[in-house]
Amino acid sequence: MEYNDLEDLLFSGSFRNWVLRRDTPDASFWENWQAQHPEKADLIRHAKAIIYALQLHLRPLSEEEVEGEIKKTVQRLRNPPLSRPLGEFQPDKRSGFSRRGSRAWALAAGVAGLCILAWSMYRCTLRHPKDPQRSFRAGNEKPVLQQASAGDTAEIREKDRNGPGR
Amino acid sequence: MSSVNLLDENLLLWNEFRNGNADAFGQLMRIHYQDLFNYGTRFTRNEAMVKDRIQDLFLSLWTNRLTISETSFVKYYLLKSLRRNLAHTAGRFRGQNNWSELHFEALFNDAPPIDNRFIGEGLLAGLARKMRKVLTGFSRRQQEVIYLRYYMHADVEDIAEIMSLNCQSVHNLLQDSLNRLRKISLKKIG
Repeated sequence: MEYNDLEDLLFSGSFRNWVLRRDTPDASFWENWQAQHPEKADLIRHAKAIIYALQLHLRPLSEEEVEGEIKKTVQRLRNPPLSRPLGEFQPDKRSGFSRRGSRAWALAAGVAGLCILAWSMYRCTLRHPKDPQRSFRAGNEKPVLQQASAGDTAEIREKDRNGPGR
Repeated sequence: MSSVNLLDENLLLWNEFRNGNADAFGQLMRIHYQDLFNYGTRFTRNEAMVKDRIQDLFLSLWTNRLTISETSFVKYYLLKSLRRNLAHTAGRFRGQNNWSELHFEALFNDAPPIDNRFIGEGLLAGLARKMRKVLTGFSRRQQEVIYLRYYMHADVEDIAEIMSLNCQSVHNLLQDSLNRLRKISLKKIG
């Protein structure tokens, strides 16, 4: 393997191990290589600086933790929970959408039901006024209220109120 | 073990797993769990959620093992699937179904400080600090490309596949990153 440019060194696992942990089995190889190629001193320094800059805190999982997760997965494989059958784990992009879609439909149906109920009640109120002493006149003109004696209902039309001939 | 042997071993395991071998299934999980966990926790700090998605991913693989095609790049296939599962979950949380909304967490927010004692050379430590500052300013997408290339050893085609980008975009992002880092090196050393 030739190490001629930055990428060759940067993405070589062996070089990285040597930079970060000097005591790797490849250490003697890299020390010899460095000695044989003094013209690459700058290139090595560039690569080393990038490797140091790219260091991250990655949480190493313990063997027990990984084994525990494998065990849980295998258990679920053998005894899938009734509420969540295995088929549901398919990475189907649409499943979230269909769940949301059915919720939206249920909501829309509920709102429509309420509207119909409210409209029916309104119609019912028009036909059977609660207050027997009140009557309304449909149309553009204002409703006219007329006090009547107990038990009577009177409906007065605008033209009646205004008198004949007007 | 050479990378070719590792590839052969992975392929062998994959085929065993596809034939319904539960031991091969466990072994596949064992080999890839740490990488999947590290990659998943770059998108969210919720470790339990990442573990759940990894579990879902493997259960789904087992369920669909007969229809999954043979792949020599098991690791990248798994990384791509995990990314999609996480995006799906993130989309559900946000009431969307758009997985381009998945955000890669800034790589260097909690990175260890660059320590002179460890590096041992003053000039090199200064250079590394300057590079870290520039890396921090890279876009999330650029940081994800670097992460996949550097930490997951994925090549341009694999990264394009994992991130659903075209190869040219990945190549450009990678080259732009390296050129910016190279410029700092040249200023400081050259």
